[in-house]
This record gives sequence, structure tokens and C-alpha cells, in this order.
Amino acid sequence: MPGVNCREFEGALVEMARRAPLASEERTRLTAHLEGCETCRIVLNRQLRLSAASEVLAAEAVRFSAPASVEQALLREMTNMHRLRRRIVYGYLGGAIAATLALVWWIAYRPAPPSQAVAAAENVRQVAEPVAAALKRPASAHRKRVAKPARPPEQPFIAIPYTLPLEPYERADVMRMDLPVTALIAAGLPMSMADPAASARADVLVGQDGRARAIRLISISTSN
Amino acid sequence: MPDIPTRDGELLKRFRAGDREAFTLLYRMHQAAVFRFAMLMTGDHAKATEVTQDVFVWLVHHAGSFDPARGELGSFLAGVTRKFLLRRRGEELRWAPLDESFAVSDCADDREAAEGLRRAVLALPEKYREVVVRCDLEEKSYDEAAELIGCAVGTVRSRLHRARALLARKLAGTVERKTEKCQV
Repeated sequence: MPGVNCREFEGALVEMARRAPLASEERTRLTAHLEGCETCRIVLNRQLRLSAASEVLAAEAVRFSAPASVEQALLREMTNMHRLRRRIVYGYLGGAIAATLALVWWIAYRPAPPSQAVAAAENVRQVAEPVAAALKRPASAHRKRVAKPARPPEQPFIAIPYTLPLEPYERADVMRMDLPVTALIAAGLPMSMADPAASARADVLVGQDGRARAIRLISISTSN
Repeated sequence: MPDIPTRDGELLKRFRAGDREAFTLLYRMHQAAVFRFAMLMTGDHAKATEVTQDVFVWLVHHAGSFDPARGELGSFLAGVTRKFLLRRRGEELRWAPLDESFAVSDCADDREAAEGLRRAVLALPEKYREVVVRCDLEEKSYDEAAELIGCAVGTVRSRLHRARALLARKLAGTVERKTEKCQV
């Protein structure tokens, strides 16, 4: 059985010092080398001392444990994280709800479709045009004249375009007033008046919120 | 404990669903290993505490990064700890010079030899220190250490051999100096 030299012994030195299991044949060869080599014995002794010190240190290390403050800090961190996540979730949720409400509101209160608006405007035109035509006729004398009522008083009210209809339960008042024709034009009523200073007497249907909803023309007077 | 990976995975899943108790359990199961490694690598209780906290805070925010199919949470946390230690070490090196020398003034016994060893380990280069901590102080096998460090078993073996030679030389010098002092 051939022996080992110092270089070969050095290769197995750490395993011997760490008490790693070695084949009996190899152990015999290493032991035989140790008996004849003082240097390797010294090196092995140093390694064995190192192993003993390592064991002491390892036994101490087993008891190492993080201080309780770390756990508390982590719990705080988790609380903060969950709070932040909750805020983000609630933020998204709130945004979604607001968007949904805005959509619902827009659908419920959007302006009347063009067809309805055109129909309302047509009604107004039918009422207003004869009056306007009468007013356009050349005046026989330079005196202020008052046009005849456009329609009998029993004429129905005409909805002002782009306003909400009255609710069934809503209270309304009828107010008679003189209005500039330009205001009627601005409200969407198709008035083809040559005189911008003309005024119209009309019954105005005013809703509970104080907004005019419909109008019934009674007469139109020009400034000249 | 063969069911640890599954249990870790379950606990992490519960934590991600908002269960704080699950995370507390996970922390209590793994904090000692993380703290021990950090303590042995830094030799400083305050630094080890900070690293341990950093590791678990990171886990709080990145719980989804752990895949139970790829290994145990312990190994995963060991890798995270290692990265935090390396980062911290890099920051420290930027400001402070590495002091490789140490001195022991009292007579030697096992306890003091252990203290000398602790200081000698701290003076080792990072790659040697890590294998000594894993193999000798945490008593991991070469295979386990190789997995934790992320290198080949042969590399672990050769680094340990080299590290132990350095440590033995330093300890021998210490012991010889102390023996001389004691004889006086």
C-alpha cells in the first residue's frame, strides 16, 4: 500500500480536521504519513484547534435571534403596506363609481335628441311665422302698431328646446311677461324678425326651480 | 421537515391575501437563520438586525417573487440576505478601509480562541468568509453551501480549504503570541 506525500496529505487535511468520514484505507495512509511528518502534524493540530474554536462559535451562533424590535417594525410595515393598498383599491373603486354616476347622469339628463328638438322648433315656427309675416308687412302709417294675437289664447304651450320637461309632481306657474324677441331667438325659438328691438308678450311656464320650460306667444310688437 | 416548502408556500399565499398572522409565523420560522448568517458575516449585532429587517421588509413587498416549486423559502431568503450583505459591504467599502489585522491580548482558552476565530473570520475576504460561515459555523454540507452560495461544490471545497489555511495561520499566530505572553 503506497503512502501519501505532504501535498496529498494537505488535500485531505481539512476533511480530517472537520472529522469528515474517510475510507479506512485512506485514513490508514494518512495516519502513517502523520507518524513520519512533523510539519503535517503541526498543520493538522492547527486545523483541529480551528475546528474546536469553530464548534464553540457555532454553538453560540445557534442561539442568535433577531431582536423583538424587528418583528414590531415588520408588523408596522405590513400595516402601512395594507393601508396603502387599501387606499389604492378604494381610489380605483371611487373613480369607477364616480365615472359610473357621471355616465348615468349624462344618460338621464342629456339634451333631447335632435328629432325632438326639431319637432319642438317646428311647433314654435308654426306659431311664430304668421305673426312675423304680419309684422313684415309695410306699415301704412308711421305709428306703432300692435300685432294681432298670433293664436287664440287656447294655443298650447311650446316647450323651450333643450330644457327638461316638467316632472309629473312638479309645481309650475304661468307668468305673463314682455320679452325681447332676441331672447326668444337665443332660447332656440326660430323667429325670423327683421326688427331686433321687437318685443313679444307671452305666457311663460316656469318650473319649481324657477326655470322657464315652455312658452305661449300672445303678441309681438315692433319698436317702430 | 419535508413539508416546509409547501407550508412556506401556503403561508406566503395567506400573507398575500392579507393574513398578517401568516407572515408573523413565516418570520418566526426563518428569522433566526437570516439573523445568524448576517451576524456571522458582519460580526455586528446592529448591522445584522438591520439586514434581517431589510430582508423581511423586502419579502413583505415582494412576496410574489418566491416560487415554492423552485426551492425552499429558507434558501430563497439566504440568497436575499446574501445580496443585502453584499450591497451593504459595497457601501461600507466605499467609505472605510478594510482592516485585516486583529489582536488578542489575553490568555487563550476555547472561548477566547472562538473569539479570536470570530474576528479572524470577519477579516477574511468575502468569498472565503461565506464558505466558512456556511460550512463550519452553520454546519451545512458542501452541497447545501454550494446551493446557497450559488457555485459549484468543488469551488466551495477549494475556498474552504484556502479559508481554513488562512484562519489556522492567524489563530496559530495568536496562540503563539498568547503563550509567549502567558509564560512571562
